[in-house]
Parts: sequence; structure tokens; C-alpha cells
Amino acid sequence: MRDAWAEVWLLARRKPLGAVSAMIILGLVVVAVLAPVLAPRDPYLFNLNERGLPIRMQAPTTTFPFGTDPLGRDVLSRIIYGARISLIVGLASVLIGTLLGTVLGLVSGYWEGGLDQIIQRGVDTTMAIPGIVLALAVMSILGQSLTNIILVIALVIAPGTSRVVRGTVLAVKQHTFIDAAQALGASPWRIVARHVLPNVFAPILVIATVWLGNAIVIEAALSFLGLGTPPPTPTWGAMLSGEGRRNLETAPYLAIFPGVAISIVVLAFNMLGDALRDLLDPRLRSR
Amino acid sequence: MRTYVVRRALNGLLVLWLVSIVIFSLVRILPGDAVIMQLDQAAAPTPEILSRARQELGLERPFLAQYRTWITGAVHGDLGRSLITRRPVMNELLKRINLTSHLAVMSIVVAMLIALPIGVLSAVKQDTASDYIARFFAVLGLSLPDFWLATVVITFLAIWVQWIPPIGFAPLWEDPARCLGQLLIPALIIGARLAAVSMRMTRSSLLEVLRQDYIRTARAKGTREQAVIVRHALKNAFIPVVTVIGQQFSVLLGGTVIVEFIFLQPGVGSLMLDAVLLRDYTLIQGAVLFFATVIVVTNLFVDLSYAWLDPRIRYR
Amino acid sequence: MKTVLSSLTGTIALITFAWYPSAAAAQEKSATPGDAPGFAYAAPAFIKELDSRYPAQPPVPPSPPRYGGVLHFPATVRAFDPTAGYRPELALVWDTLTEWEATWYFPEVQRTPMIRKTLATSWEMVNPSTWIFKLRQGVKFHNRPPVNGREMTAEDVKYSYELLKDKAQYSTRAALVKTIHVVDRYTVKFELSMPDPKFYLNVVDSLSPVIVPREAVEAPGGLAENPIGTGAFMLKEFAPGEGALLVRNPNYYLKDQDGRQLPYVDAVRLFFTKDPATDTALFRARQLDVSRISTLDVLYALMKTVPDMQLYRVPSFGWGDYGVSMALDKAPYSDVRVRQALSMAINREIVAEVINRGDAALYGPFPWALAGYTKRTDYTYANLGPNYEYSPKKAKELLAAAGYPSGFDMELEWAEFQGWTFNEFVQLVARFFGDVGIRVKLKQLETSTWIAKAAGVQPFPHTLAAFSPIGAGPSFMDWVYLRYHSSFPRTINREGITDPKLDDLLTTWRLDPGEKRPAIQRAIWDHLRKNVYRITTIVPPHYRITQAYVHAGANPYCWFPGYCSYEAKTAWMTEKAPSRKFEKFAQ
Repeated sequence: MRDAWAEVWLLARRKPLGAVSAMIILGLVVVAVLAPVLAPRDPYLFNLNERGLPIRMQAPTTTFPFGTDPLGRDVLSRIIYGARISLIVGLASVLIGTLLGTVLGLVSGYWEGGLDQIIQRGVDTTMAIPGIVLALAVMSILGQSLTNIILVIALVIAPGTSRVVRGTVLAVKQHTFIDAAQALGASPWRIVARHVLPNVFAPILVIATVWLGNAIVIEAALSFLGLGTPPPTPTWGAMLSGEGRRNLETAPYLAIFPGVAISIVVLAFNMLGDALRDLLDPRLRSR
Repeated sequence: MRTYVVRRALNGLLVLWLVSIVIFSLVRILPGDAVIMQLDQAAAPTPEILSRARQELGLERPFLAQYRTWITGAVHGDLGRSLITRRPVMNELLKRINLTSHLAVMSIVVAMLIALPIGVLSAVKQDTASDYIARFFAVLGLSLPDFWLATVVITFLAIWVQWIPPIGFAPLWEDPARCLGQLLIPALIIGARLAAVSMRMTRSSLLEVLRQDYIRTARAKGTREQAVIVRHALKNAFIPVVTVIGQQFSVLLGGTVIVEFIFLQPGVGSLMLDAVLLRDYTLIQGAVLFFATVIVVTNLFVDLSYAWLDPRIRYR
Repeated sequence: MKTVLSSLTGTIALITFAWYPSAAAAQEKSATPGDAPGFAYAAPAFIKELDSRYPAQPPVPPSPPRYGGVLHFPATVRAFDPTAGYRPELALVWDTLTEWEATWYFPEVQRTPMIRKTLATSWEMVNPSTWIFKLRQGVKFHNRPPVNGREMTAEDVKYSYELLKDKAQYSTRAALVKTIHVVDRYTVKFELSMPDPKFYLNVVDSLSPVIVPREAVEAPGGLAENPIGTGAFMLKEFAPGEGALLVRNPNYYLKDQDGRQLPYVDAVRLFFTKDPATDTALFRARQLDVSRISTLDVLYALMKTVPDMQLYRVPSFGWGDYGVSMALDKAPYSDVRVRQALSMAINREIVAEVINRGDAALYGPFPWALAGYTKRTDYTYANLGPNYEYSPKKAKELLAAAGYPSGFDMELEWAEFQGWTFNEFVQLVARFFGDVGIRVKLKQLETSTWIAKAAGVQPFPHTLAAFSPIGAGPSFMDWVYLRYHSSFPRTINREGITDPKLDDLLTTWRLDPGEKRPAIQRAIWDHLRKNVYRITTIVPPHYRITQAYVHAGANPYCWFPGYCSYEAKTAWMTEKAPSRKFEKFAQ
């Protein structure tokens, strides 16, 4: 156990940026999980003044550290709960997308032949259709909800991932130990699990960490276009692109806080991805 | 080599055909149609009026007949008429592509001017303070959503300077001063993000090249470090960067929607967005088909250049 | 290092601006709230300031109008073709028979609608189903092929009406017209499908068919490529998605009251903006001369940075309200007690506060003026009745009486729509309904789908947040008769209201020649406010802003973004206006 910690410490020393970003992400997860405990108020509650009217767009004060939004809701609480949604969107879409992409890439690369052709043409077709058209089409057909946003982002991630995976599989297949394993009668699943997957794991991890950040930005972009998570769910993207943008001059704090939150989290994911890429690249390790 | 080219080309055509079928069907699955989507809030049409309007637009003909008319036209370069403006799709598309290409090229130029020097610096001075600072700001550039930056820029430009980029596109060859004035700020915003991506790519690619044996040889021979970098390393380092740019170009073609939206520069991205929202079938189909053609052709070129550079690939 | 610079600058700027308005906000809070009884215009200090700084009567300009200049304003025009779709800007190129007067030297228009005679110079009711219109002589179409400036005659009016009355955009207006006869070269006779003693209101402004020349429609490309009409401007360049450039028609027939030929400006440039932030930025950069804004928040921001801006602020007749339509043909909305309960559950003060900082008026089943209430002080809860007063307790009792003691589930559909803040409205409504036990699920639709539902083309399962169906001008026929009588399809009578007693009242109104109509209208008002067929809350005023160097008239019938763009016909610009070229759209 001590060895494992020592190893982690060494890694952290080598990649300080990566270590910091890992801490930030850990903090994000903690905030997301402990949201009900950490948030000072109910994020859906309209806070009323003594006349019974909502305290609209109040600048940050001690009562409302991050101010209130146009409906009188506490921005700090909404940011904290927003961490949950952003994390869910990021994790779910990346998980589904990379899983789908990996399966397609594995099947395509390992068995080649007709199946490979069909899958690859499907991937090509999907990648040839502009992302915005796909996103709009899916949202129009299925309706606007958090699940469908996750689906849309996953659909954007999957084709690219499948190509990377397929390429890696093809490269790995060239190594003689695959032939040897096949000659020895090992089943395809075993070969895939023992030899192919470990090599594929590294690039996918790097892709996944970067896409985690991108997913959050895409959700904000969809909110901008009016296709984001429907209210009253607090997401950073909706807060930024909705009331943040609408009131940029009169109440800039509505945009600053979600904007900073998004930037920090995306930054952290990107740096983590960088660090992982450096660490996991076998050629660099020997430096 | 020739069989390889032919095979790739045939694949490309197949993909284009598949795209045409997919997009043709996809738009018709979307709820609503152009007639309904154009209704004003004051309109109060009867079902007969709506049906007649649909007939006029050719929307009540059988599916296959509609497809056949469209695809035969498309193959000859006639993409039909927009269901909303009643003007030829091809003209509209070309105008938008003109603007988007201008914007894309300018963004790439901006990005290169920023990314290349900083990327090289960062690689050469790896793991020093300047490297960390450069990488940090590069990632920062990636993290700020560009549409948000665009809103901030346009709002505060108007407040502080009472000026915003002029509206109304004029191509570079017609009116260079105006074109630059109009597109510079959006290009900076889009280019900033692209610069971040390219800078990281430049850095990692140069680092990789610098580790190669022939660089070690050059150093051992006593060549000055600067000559090593410039003469030997940079050329090879730029190959993957060029690839990334190529990929980013097609992203730029469709991905600048929101910046276009905010600065009122109507490019291909906002064309597709509007067309989908209004269910303008012919326009969506035409734009998507064009876009797909660009991607397929680009991929073809990239594949061919790889095959030319690396003979092993040809014989797969 | 542009990335660095822009992100740093942006962040610093935002932080600086964050604390600036909070001071102003604090000041606003300390002002005493209005003491007005009831609801209407219980305005805080800021609105009082608006009232005094920008009186409802736009000031008369100090000098005679100056010719020249290029006017810029925002619009959304997808096709400059009356057969393809309707937009108010089409009125710049094509005229209707009459228009609402909007010039600055008719101050009366703020209180009394005045009709400007454009293509028709007089009209006469032979009987309520037959109307004769006399046309202006010597009106020429634009001098461009294939029409080449020939004169407009009664044949053109007949042709245009027959061509356009079946198009979706004009069908409410044209619904009444059965046939058109050409009596002589300058006289047209309309036979109506239903008697209407106020039919002359029907042909006013662009919601009615515009007059188009046959040659242009039948030429290759149709009107889209031959946009020729009789209007004050000619379309010079149309860049879809960007904007349009229109130049002055040198042979326009209209003259102002001193005999000067209209229009005054040389050209009009339209910008097809999509984003309110862009509009505001353009206005600040003096790229837009006229703009309409939807909420007080935006106005507040602009007043600080464009201090010499002029504001035209007028209470709305009824356009732009915030309401909820219900699917009346099924339970629970078919039960009047449920509808009353839903209406009582809403706190309209809070809605007004959130939507427009309190600057809004109560709104009932149709415009107050049509029920005989003409003074703003009459817009009260007392005249609307208990169904419109906030009482969640009574609401719960009614729901229990109707058989829903523990409430029910509701799906409330809505969409973003330029000019409305439905986003905040539906969240408020969901909250209010939740307080009386109704579990609301908000469903956001695509804007175009929502428009289709609001237009009655597609059904909605439970409820739809939408404006009330509108009419044009002060026409009871438009606002009430067509919208509530069971004989009309869902595209006109949106909720499909079938109420025999209401039908009787409406028929009595229709058959009455005129003297008893006000009383019948009041009776219909009483019936409707008891039955709450549609939940209505508030309606904010209209705000139109102009630069200091523009003098544009306006009238209360020019409602939300875009309508009555033909104000450009009588607008003029002082020498302080920026000089602009107009050879092509790209300046």
C-alpha cells in the first residue's frame, strides 16, 4: 500500500500540472456528491423579500455570496448543484460514447472483412454529416432533455473513438505474438482482452479526459442555441448561455461564476489529459 | 497504387450516396415541415390552405419520387430551390461558403501566427517556466467557450468603443480593407481556440522529432542548436500539424455557428442551423451534401498523401 | 498571446461591471413602492422616472423634415415575397389599401386610431356584407421590368386578393372576403361571407393582402426575383440571413400633410439580427437607428450607455401578453372549477415583477378597451373578478370540489420566442401550480413547433404557455368573435371552445347593427372572465427606442419586434445622423 502511495507521489512530482488538475477534479466530484450538504439554500427556491416579491438579480452580498438570478434563486447553490449535472453530463456522455466507439473499433479492427467495411462506412457517413445538423435532428425528434443531450454528445464522440481504436487494433495485430496466440488456439475474446485492450486503453483514456471537458462546453453551446437542458434544472451551461448572456451588462456575476466554473473544470480535464498522455506514452517513459 | 486510389475514390462515392439517403430521410422524420414552421404568430390557416401550400412546395409527392428528382438534379449540380426563399440552393450555398472560407482561412492564419512560435518555444524550452506558462494559456484558450468570448467581445466593444465589425460581406478581392475589418475580430476569437490546439500539437510533435536519432546525429556533428531545429526538425514536425489543420478546417466549416450568429456573419454553419430549424429540406440536403463532399475529398487527399509517404499502407 | 489578453481583459471587465449596477440597484430598492391601489402600474421609482423622462406623447420635432439619410433597423425577413410568407417589412415595398397613421404630427393617434389612406381613398358600406372601395388614381408600380411603372387599377386589387387570400399569412383577414368585383377602373366591390359593419378595419396594414402586379408574379422566379409593388421603397438587394437594402421610390404617391413627397430618407437598410445582445451592441455603435426591446432590464442597460436615446413607451392594447392555453376537450381542463383554480393560483404581481420589473398591466380574456374600459385605472382586479386574484387556498378548495384533492399531473409546453421571456414565466407558473398541488413538468419545444401549436395547427396534450390569439387593431371581430365562436376551426379558435351560451352572445353581437354592441361586448367579457377558457396574467408595454438623430412617428398599434416597420416611410433623420452609403448592402 505504501508503495502505491509512493508511486503516486512520484508521478505527481513529475507532472505537477497534472497533479493539480487531478486535485481540482477530485474537488469537483466531492462538491457534486455532497451538494445537498454544501449548498446553503434550495437551488429551486425563489427567495422573496418583505413585500413578497422575488429578490431579482441581487449582486453578491453576504446573504447571497454569488448573488441571485432573475427569478430570485441563490446562484451559489445553483452552481454547486450544477456541478452534479455537469459531471453527470460529462461522465455519462463520455462513457457511452467511448464504450460504443471502442466496441465498434474493436469489432471492426479485429475481424476486418465485410463487417469492418460496413462499420467503417457507417462511421464515415456519420462523420460526414455536420455535428450541428445531427444534434438538432436528434433533439427535434427525441425532444429536449438531459438524457438526449447526453445521447447527442455520445454520438459525436463515438465515431472518432472507433477510428482511433480500430487503428490501434490494426497496429497491434501486426505483432507476432497475436499470431502466436492464435496458433496456440486462444479464443478471440481472450486475445482481445489480454493483448489488444491494454494497448487500446491508453489512447482512449486520453481521449476521454479531453472529451469530458468538451462535453460541458457543448452543453453550454446547445443551451445558447436554445437546445440545452430545459429549466429549471441548474446547469452551468444554461446559466452561462441563458440568464448570464441576457444580463451581461446589468448583472455580469450571473455569467462570471458559471463561466469561471466551466473554465476551471475544462482546464483541469485538459491538463489531466495532457499529463496522462505524457505518462502513458511508452516511448516517453524511457526518457 | 492505382488500385488503391480507385478503391478509396469508390469508397468516397459510396459514402456520399449513403449520406444523401440518410439526410434525405432524416429531415423528413423531423416533426413539422416548412409550411408550418413559417407560420407567423398572427397566421390562422385552415387545413386546406396548409395542404395546398405543401403541394406547391412538392412536399406531398411520394418519397421515392422526391428523392429521385433531387438526386438526379444534385448529380448535375442543381441542388433545387430553397423551400423558404424560393431561390436556388447552390447560389446561397456558394455565397455562404465564400464567407466561411474567408473566416476559416483567416482564423487559421491567426492561429498559426500565434501557435507556431509559441509551440516551438515551448518545445525547445521544455519543462521550464516558459513552457508551463505557454501550455497553461493554451489550455485556457481551449477552456473558454468561444461563443461566450464572442458575446463578451461584442458587448464590451460596443460599450467602450461604440464600434462593432460592419455587417454585409464583401470578399477579400473586392474590398480588402472592409473584409479584414469585418472578419478580423471573429477570426481572432475562433483563431484563439485553434491556436491552443495547434500549439499543443506543434509542441508534442516537435518534441517527438527532437528525440529522433538523426537529430542526435546532427547535434553530435556539432551543428548549432538553432540550425538543428530549423533545418532538420521543423519540417518533419509540421506534418502532423498540417494534418490537424486539415481536420480543423472541416470543423471550422460547420462549427463556427455561434460566432457567426453573434457577429451576424452568415456562413455555412448558420445556414445549416436556420435550415434545420425551418425544415427547409432542399437547403439542408444541399448544404449537408456539399459539406460531406468536402470532407470526403479532404479525407481522400489525406489518405493518398499518407499512402504516398508510407508505402506499407498501400498494400493493406 | 491574444488568448491571454482577451481572457484577462474579459474577466477584468466583467468583474468591474459586476459592482457598478449593484449600487444603482440598491438605490432603486430604497425608493418607496408605489401606493397605487390594486395592481395597474404599481410602479417603482425607476418606472416613475421613465414616465417623466419619456412622456407617452413623443415630442413633435422642432423643424420641418429633412430629406436624405439611410435608416437602419433590425428585422427578420426570410423571403421578400408576399406569396411565400408575410413579414411587416414587406409593407415597405408593397402597399395595402389603407394603413394606421403613425406620423409625429398626428399626436391624437396615441389615443384614437387614425387610418392613413394609401391605395384606397374612400370606402362606403352598401350593406354590412357589401363594401365599395374607391382607389387612388395615378398610382404607379415601381419602374422596373416587367411591370415598367404602369398604373395600378382595380384589376390589380382583385388579382391580389384572389391570389393571396388562401395563403396562410393572410387568411384571418381574408376569411371574411367572399368575392371581389371590379366596378370600374378605380372602384372595387367586396362581398363578405359574413356581415361586418367595421370591415374597413380589416384592410388596414400588412396583415391584409398587399397589392401585387400580375406580370411580376407570373414572370420567371415570381415575386422573389421581381419584387415590384407600389410601395415607398424598392428592394435593391436581399441577402438572406444578413439583411436587405431598399432605396427610395422616386414616384411614390403619398405626400405629407404639407405636401412634401414621401419618403424622406434615401434608403433603408434592414439587419436580420437573431440575438438581442447583437441588437443592443448595434444600437450602441449607432448601426441601428430604431429598435424594439422587450424587457425593462435591457432598457435599463441601454439608458446608461446611450443617454440621448429616445424612448416610445406605450401600454399594450393586448399584444405581447403572457398566458396559458389549456386542452379544453379533456379532463381536468374541461371542468370550469379547475380552470378557475389554476387562474387563482397565479400571483400576477410576482409575474409582473419578474417579467418586467413590475411595469405591466393586468390582462383579461380580451383587450380592456373592447369591453368598454378605456382608462388605465380601470384595469383592476375588481373589474376582472375573483378568478384573477391570487388565492391559493380557494384554488385548493375548488380543486378538491372538482375531484382533485391531491392535485394532478400537468405537462406545460413552451419555447423561447423573441420578445417574450417564457423561460421565467413557465418556471413561475410551475411553482405557483405546485403550491396548490399540481405537479408540473416543463417541456421545452423548438420555437417553430411551438408556433405551430400556438397557431392551432398541432394539438398540445395539456397546456401551452403562449400569448393570447391576437387581432389587428381594435377589431372585436378579430380579437373575440373569430377566436371564441365554435364554428371556427382550431387554427382560428385555438382551444376549440364550444360554449352554446357564448355562441348565442357572439351571434347576437354579430347580428346587431351597432347600438347595442357595447353592452353585448361587456356581457361577453363577463361571461368569459367567469369561465376562464384561457389563463391570462399580464401584458407589458411596448418599448421602441430611437437614436437622437431620428424622428419617427409611432402609434399604439405597432406592437412587438418588427410590426409597423412602415414607420420608415415617414421617418426622417437630422444632419447629426452618421453619413452612410447605399450603393450596396455591404456598406
